[in-house]
Amino acid sequence: MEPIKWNDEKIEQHLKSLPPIKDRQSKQELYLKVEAKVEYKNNKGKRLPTWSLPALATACALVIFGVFAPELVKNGGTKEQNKVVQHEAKKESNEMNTTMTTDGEVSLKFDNKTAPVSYHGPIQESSLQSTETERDWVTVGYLDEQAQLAIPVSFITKPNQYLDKVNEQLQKFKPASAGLMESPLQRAKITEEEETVIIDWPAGSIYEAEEPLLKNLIALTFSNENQKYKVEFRTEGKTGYEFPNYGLVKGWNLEVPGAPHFRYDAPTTDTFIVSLFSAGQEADDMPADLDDALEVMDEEQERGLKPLLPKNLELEVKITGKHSVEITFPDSFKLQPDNQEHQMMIDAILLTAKSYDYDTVKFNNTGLEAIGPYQLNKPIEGIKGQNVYHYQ
Amino acid sequence: MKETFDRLYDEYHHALFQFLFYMVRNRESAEDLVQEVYIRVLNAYKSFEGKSSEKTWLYSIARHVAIDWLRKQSRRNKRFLIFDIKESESLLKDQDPLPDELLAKKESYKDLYKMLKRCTLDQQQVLVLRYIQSLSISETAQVLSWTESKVKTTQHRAIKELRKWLDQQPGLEEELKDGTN
Repeated sequence: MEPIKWNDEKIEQHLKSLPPIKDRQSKQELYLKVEAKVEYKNNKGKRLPTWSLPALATACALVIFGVFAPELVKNGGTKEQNKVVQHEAKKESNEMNTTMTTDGEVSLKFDNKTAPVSYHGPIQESSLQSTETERDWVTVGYLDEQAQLAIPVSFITKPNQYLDKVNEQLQKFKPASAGLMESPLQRAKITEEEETVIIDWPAGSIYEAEEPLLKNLIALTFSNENQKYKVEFRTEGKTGYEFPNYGLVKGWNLEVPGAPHFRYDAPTTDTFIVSLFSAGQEADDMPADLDDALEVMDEEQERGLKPLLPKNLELEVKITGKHSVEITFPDSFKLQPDNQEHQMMIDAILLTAKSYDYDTVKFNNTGLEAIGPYQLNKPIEGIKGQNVYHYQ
Repeated sequence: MKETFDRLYDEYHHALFQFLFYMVRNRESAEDLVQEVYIRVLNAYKSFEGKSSEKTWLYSIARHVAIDWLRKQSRRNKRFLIFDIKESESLLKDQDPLPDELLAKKESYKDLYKMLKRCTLDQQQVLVLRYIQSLSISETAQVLSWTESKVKTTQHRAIKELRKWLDQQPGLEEELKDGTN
């Protein structure tokens, strides 16, 4: 008996004839379930009393004014690096929409609707050392309002032990002010034993919706610069924590993998740069190297992550050392000074490079000497923190 | 909300459920996920701008829901394997039981169904959308936010791989010869 040979046609026919599978829920039953869940989610989302919304809007306006008024007086209008950047709402050039012009040049158009009002960038280590007062930094993970992203937020602090800095910011920062949800870590007692972070929650502290990104959030908090490698859970002193879905878990090993970075616009006016790791993707699913990561950074991603690199932009990546890399822009693309989207693109590239262990990045053929806080005619190094939040 | 739900259900429910089932390969999970799809759709329905067709928009949401679920499963399985105290057999179980509808089919269909799982996620999406859902190349490209050429290439590679694996499967000769289900 000769073995049958499948051919393309047979396979296609078989695929088309796979049986329809029936949903056993009736239409009415399904509607009732959906309706109940929609209402539950809507009610869950109403965390703030109604009177607080105008108050929040006023507070945001005051914060923005508070940042810019003194700055304009002190610096004659020059923006300090990493502070909240004011969106020039009237400018036409503010949308991340890429077009290919007739002569093959890649150009960017900017949409007023998508441009940020409050952008929280990274910081350079040199800026921490440049003042008389000694300064340090720390990163804490928060969830976005839909619990779809774990967003790292960095803070400038006084020098201290890493865990003390984390605990201080968990008390001090009000995530709702930046369009984020409270961190599950705010409900925990966080200590340290021989380089292992101990997180102790009262039973029932973690909501089911917080669970899927909890590991990412914890890794972004304690391991964003490889500070800690392991976390152990306790429940009021007893080993392990009973999660709604994971069950009883003793602890996790922590790692923040190299990953491409994208833009996330919070429902407020805040804009962050986050990686695919923030969206819950596993290390195995990430692009293997920086070159591959940059390739996907021009594509829209799930969970509202938007590209910061324009389509058709082909960057040349040259590894120049164990931790250094040169990135060359094509002739068809030139960075524009005072263009916030372009500065965000540079930030996203630097953060992505850093996540793949390239601490030093030299940009070539940008057409500019400097953009934002960066001198482009020399290697940029010492990027620290991400989405730095400045208290007013 | 009821009116919108009724219309979407009548027009698309069967197709959406099929898509979800063949992506996640588990009836109970597909039933949960289809609820999630409606929740997202109904929440976003007012902001649907009609840039794509309603059909491809719905598939696109269903695709995101399915991928999120698959990734969560993958993460959970890894965690259970590495570090947890309780081992859940159901989480570690490799294969879900075949649905009754498929059990009634010939072995060749069961084999094809099993082989589908060996395809990459991209390939599975393309095969399900193109053949099981009968979407056009253009519609598939819209759902996946890909170029049409990427859809064609992925489809071609997927069929090629399926063919290779199916050729290694024994015992399909007779039933394929008689051409019945």
